[in-house]
Amino acid sequence: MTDPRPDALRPVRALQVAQERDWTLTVLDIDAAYKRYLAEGELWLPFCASCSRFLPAWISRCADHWDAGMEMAQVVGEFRLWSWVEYLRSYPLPVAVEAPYIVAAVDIEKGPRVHGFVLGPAAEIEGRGRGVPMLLDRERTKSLGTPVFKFASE
Amino acid sequence: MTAVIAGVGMTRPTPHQDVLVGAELAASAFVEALSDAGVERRQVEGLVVQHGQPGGADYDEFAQFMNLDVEFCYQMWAHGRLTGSAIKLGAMMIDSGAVDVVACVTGYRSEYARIGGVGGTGFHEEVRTRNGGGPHGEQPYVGITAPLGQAAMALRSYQLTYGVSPDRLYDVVAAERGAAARNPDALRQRQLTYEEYLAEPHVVAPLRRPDCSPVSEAGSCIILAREQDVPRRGIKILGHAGVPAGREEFIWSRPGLGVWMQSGSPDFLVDDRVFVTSGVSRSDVDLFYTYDAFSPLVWFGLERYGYCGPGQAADFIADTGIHLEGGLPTNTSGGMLCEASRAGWGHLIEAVRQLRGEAGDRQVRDAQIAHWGACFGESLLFGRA
Repeated sequence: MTDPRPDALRPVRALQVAQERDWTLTVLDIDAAYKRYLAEGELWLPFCASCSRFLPAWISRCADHWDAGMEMAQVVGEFRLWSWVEYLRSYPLPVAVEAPYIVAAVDIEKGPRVHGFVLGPAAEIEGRGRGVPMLLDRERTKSLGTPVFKFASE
Repeated sequence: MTAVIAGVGMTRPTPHQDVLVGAELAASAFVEALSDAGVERRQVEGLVVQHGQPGGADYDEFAQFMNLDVEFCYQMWAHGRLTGSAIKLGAMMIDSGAVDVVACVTGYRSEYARIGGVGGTGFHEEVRTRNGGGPHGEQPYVGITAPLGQAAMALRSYQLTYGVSPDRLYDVVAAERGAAARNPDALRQRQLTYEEYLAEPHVVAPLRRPDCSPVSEAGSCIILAREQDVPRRGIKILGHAGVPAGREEFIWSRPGLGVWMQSGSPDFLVDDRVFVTSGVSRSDVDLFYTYDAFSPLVWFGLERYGYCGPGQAADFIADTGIHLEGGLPTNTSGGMLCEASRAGWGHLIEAVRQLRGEAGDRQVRDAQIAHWGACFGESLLFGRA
């Protein structure tokens, strides 16, 4: 699925949002659409139809197909665990998550790795190997406005 | 290169210098380096500044502070990844014929560069102003704060790829603590037992506190000149390779670990550039210096330059040894992990002192060639004159 809106890759209130949040977000005027979908519990990324690949949210044009343009497309298919870390201490975050928390790097089909939270005790991720199937936790993604993943076996 | 390292100087590292500002830290090191080189202040025609504001001194501020009259200045992005590049640029200024004597200098207050720290959401203000995230992959909106977050991610990826336990980083920490014990200026001189290391708390698992470099104040300076223009024999720059960039490169990783935008393909090529361009063989290297803001970077550096194969760094360290009496003495001042977080300047100055035979109790006998090779691809070869 792609977003037909002409402003799908354009900044939407990003500067204002960043200021409202005391600039603790990276300046995301370029990935405002990405954030907008996260707030709806969905994961969308820039997609180059010419090479059939997603790109990170901050890359707005494909370097290999510069004139082809890109569109926002919903990320579907398998998500798989690549790597993860556990933060043991709380630091100021622009989202309502307290340590200890886990951040995972998750492989998506035809695209880059996406970072996101895995909420829950570290014991649930310990011992799981690379490639374990994961899902986007849509409810928590929507409530936090940032990617949250869970294990497909949950 | 025709330019040689004529003199070095650095301030004693301290966790907190309440008195000195960045310019004073840089200036103190500069004065020491001038004396070391036997060069007069007025001879300095070129100036390369590594860390400007905030926390350091911008090139114009430093020149005014020291009453210099320099004609060729440059100021680097204030990151340790470009420390070696500061030296290369200074040497190129001389090799080009533009100037005869160059001072490469840095000084910064630690609160502006908490490279080993974890407080706050980022590094300088850049994490808030770069669209793609901070310069070390910081992404506060998914909880990745401070530089060490992605270093921990790289270590976990390494563990998942090669099955090597992060606990084996103890050997890196122990080797550098052993060297630091013979460095009176090192901040962390006490050796840890393996049990003590395991008992240290994780900061961002799998990284423990001893795996992260301590915050420190730092002023460092290296004077470059032509051999014939200085009274003492300089240290030669035998080879160099610049900082590479692209989707397969990341600051806290070597290619192949799948960090940030890296593909994660384990079939990465050994980085031979500095050996190919210099004609120096890897087996000729007596001392290895590598960026170690976090301990796994030592593993990644050893593997990047082919001292051992992928996934074999822990075995290499166990079998060959990177301690002062080992087969490849590494970070012989205690490195960033134990001496101080000097953004790599401490390594370069230590290499010079070792090659001169001026490293005191930690002197490695008959060292002829030193390799500065960071896991992110910054590389230099130094040779005894």
